[in-house]
Amino acid sequence: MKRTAAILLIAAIIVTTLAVGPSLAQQKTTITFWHAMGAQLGKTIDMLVNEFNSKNPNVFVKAEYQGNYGALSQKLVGSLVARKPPTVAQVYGNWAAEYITSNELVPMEKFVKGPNGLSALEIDDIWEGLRAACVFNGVWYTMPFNKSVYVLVYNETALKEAGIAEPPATWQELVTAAKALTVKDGDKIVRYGLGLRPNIDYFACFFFNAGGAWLDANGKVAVNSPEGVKTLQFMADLLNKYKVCYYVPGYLDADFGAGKVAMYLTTSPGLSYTNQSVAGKFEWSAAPLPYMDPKFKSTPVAGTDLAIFARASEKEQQAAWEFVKWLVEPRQTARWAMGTSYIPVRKSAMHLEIMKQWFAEHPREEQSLKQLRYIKYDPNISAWSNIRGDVSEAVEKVYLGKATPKEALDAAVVKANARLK
Amino acid sequence: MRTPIPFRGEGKRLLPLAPSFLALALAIALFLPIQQGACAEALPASYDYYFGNLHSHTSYSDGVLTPSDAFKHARDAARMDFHAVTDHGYYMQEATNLHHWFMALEEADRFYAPGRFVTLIGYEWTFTDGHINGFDTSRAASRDTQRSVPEFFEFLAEHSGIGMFNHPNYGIQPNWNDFEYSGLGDAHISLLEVGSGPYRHNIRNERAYRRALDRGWHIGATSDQDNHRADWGTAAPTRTCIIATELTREAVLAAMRGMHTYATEDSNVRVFFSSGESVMGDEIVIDPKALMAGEPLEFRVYVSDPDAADHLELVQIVASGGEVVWESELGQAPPHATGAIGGAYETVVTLAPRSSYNWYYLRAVQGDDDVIVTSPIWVTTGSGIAVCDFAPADAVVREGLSTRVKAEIVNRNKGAIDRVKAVLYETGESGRRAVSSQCVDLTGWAGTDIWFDWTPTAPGEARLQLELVLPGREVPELFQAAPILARGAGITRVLIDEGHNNRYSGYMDGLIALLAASDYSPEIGEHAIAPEVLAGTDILVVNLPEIGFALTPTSFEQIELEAIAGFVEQGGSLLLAGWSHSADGSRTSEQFNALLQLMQASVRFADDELQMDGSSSIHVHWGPGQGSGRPIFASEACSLMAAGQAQAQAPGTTVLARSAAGIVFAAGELIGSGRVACLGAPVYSLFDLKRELFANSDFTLAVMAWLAGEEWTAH
Repeated sequence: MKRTAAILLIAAIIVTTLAVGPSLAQQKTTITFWHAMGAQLGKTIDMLVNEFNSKNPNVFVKAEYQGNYGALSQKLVGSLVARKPPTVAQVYGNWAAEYITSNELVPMEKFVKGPNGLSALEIDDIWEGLRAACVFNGVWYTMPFNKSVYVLVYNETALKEAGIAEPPATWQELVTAAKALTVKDGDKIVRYGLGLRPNIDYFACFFFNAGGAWLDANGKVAVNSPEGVKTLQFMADLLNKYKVCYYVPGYLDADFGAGKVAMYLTTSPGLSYTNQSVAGKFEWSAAPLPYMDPKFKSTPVAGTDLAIFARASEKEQQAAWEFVKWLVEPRQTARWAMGTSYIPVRKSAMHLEIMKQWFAEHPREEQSLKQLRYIKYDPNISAWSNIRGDVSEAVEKVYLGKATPKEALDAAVVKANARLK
Repeated sequence: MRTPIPFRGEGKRLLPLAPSFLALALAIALFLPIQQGACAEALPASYDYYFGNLHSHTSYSDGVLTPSDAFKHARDAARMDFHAVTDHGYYMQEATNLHHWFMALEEADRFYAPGRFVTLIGYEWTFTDGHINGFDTSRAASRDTQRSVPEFFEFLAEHSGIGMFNHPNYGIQPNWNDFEYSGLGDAHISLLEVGSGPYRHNIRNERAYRRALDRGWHIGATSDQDNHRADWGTAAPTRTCIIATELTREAVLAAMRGMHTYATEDSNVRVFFSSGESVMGDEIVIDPKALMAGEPLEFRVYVSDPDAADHLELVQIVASGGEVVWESELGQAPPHATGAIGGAYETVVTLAPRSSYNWYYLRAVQGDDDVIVTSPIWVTTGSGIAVCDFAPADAVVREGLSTRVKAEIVNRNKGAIDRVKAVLYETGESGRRAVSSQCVDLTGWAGTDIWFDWTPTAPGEARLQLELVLPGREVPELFQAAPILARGAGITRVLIDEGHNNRYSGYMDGLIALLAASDYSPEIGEHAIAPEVLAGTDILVVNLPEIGFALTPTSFEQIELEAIAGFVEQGGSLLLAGWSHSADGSRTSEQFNALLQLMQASVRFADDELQMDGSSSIHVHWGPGQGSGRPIFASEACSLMAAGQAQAQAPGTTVLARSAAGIVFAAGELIGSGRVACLGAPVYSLFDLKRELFANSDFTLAVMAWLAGEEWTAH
């Protein structure tokens, strides 16, 4: 008797499973999310994705780390060729520009203005500069996600020892401070005032602050403008004329922590690395980027946006939008910012109690946000990733003493404009 | 039978040769016919040559496909004996892709075939100072976990790993603060990429290799491909060759630790460099007395290529300081001189060590320009002391004028050595004389700088020696500086102004080197110009100051202009170099023209810009016929004109150079007892002198010679 009952029970379970199983599976939409966030950043992504998955029984987000941005780009291109792109991915503006030309992205506008979209107030709550960078030919295509701005990191202890009360705000003050902070032992420089990297991003930090613009009125690359030449000359002078600057192709936080450089530029997420490297050895802080003239005060914005791919089914696209929308809600963007030091993309996130408390504990992080009104971004044109290479090459050439700023930038402009044809 | 183990410093690296292999190989050598040319007998019998690659990537970091694909390709397509996959460490961290590290190890085990193909998994520690590959550790290091060079060295030490300095190119990375010595690092870094990919033709890093050796590092030579595409081993014929007892992982790793390697751009050339029982990678310890007595050592040189087309052009032995101390005679054309394909070039070279710390490596060049560089053989007195950068700090040293001489003493021993007596000697035909002496404490496992004052007593070649008396060692350690050319007291002295935010401040190193090599004594001036500053000067060089913010004044005071005018009036020479006019007023010829007016010169700088095809980079012609020969390169230049009239030759001046359109670019004028040369732009910045197609160096020297009182011969 007992045995019969057991068999009946098992049969009932099987029948129930068969009946219920497929219908559950039909309801749940799985979407893939490709990202390039390793280490601590990856952990924060996983934390948010897990939370989303547990709160949304109908959607399952599969977050997949693809390596660094180079690897992500390579894999995205490969997936598009193979017609198997993810549903959502982190993309740079110029990648998006390229995908848009071949209709691979669904405009974010479709969802934002759809029935489950964002209100006018919510749209306005996203920082204008970040939103503007997501618009391509007048259409809103992507959603700002992991955005950062550059700041000047400085060794507060060393600055005080040198008798300088405030971090440098202008280029003149930057040179003066860098000179005062450069320490020699015999013929060896044991501490450089400033650390820089010879690439377009560091160039941009100075170029925008000298009033430079990447493109002229006709949409041509105009980085060899007097502002461009002046900027590159200034960067080279820090190295060769004033001899106060240390330049390396790699990351500078470890050198800063080791006391080899007293100031350097980094993006906001770099601050957590800085903190690890300094490890309490001295006081340090961050300040807005120095400018040539107050009217040019600005900072480049770096980082990627989220894109939804057109090859996904309507259902997957809607599920992806659900996820994207949730990620940039004030509470999530605040937690994202706290876990990674990226900037929160929503203004209202700043008013959340958790964010206020966090800024109170991490005053340096707030420095980035002071600059949010002055952000400048790269042109959203598909040729830009290659043009970035052209400008970086010019910067590197000048650093290595292979060309004058004018020659190097003239050559970069010829190359860059050929790519626009 | 057991091969004696040569001295190896801290005893970190070399494993003794396995006696069984020695015996077996000896038996083969004695009783079996040799299959391939004369190669086999050149090696001590226990060794063989294995060719492979120690640096590559897959999709486990930023490359493509998997380690399995890499090993398959390296084995089947490239036909290499060993291959290492070394993905970036920061890709293999916890919670992200740590599993890739273990997958890679498993894949390597699947492809490992002892005796046929050795697979290795390492990682690239990608860091600011330079990238380092790590091998033979149970997990990968990354810049996120080992956040400084010392931390990475500690990681290697903790895991008894092997390190390799990757692509040590000065144009790519700062090379670990220019190979600043670290004893802990040296104990575990065994190799350096003398050749590095990923390009079709490898990048040669011999300069960095020599620098690292000079600074005391014990490292061997490799040539690797750094593949990021599916071309593991086929991207180029470059290979790392390992001399090992057998083709097993253990033997390959032992050879890497022992630096029994060479870097080759040819895929199968066999090279062997030895002295007695020591082979490349070994250290030979000699008696300090033998060094004093100048007793020589014999080095055996062996090069052989199985391919008939790969004939040998040149063989050299390169020693400390990068000096070529022996070279095969040209035309000797080994190894096929005998006509025997597969024949070998073999010779014995006798060299006498000069210092207590010497390194020697073999360098061979084939007819197709393939270069082969071996690991060094060190010859030392066993004190663990090396000396580098032993030279005067000034570019030019002059008879009767004191100069500072620097030497970095590298203490390769872990413990500090206190109270070392350092004596500087000047040697000559009549023996040697002590210049000065001091006591110095040497930090353990690091370098210590010392400085001496020295005044050359006569013009000509001077030789300096540094003697270090170490406590407890009977015979002093001896180190030689490269010969120094002391100039006569009457040499022409050139002062280059950098005290006024001058154009190209910080870019005058090329001019200084050019003048120093051409019998001038150049110097940078960073102070205000005054008669007493000019008293020790024959030629003053002033590039146009830029007005604006700077840490120095950006224009001249009237009193400075008067001092310059007085200097020229009394026979001094002046070189003024301009800059094209800028609309914002930061570059103006106003002060230069005021100075010229003060001197009553007839030449003036124009506020314009010389252009060529719309570009501010122009070609300027000089010399006989003004258009023949190589032009001068100039950028952002202005033209010259006569006082009161635009773009015409000023009366009483000599035109030194003209633009392609015939506009005056450079002119010279005699004023009082002195001479003034005006140039539309400095054509001697570091940028300008690097342009090989242009005659900027020749023109600069011609102008200097004219300023020094010679005739303008080029006109």
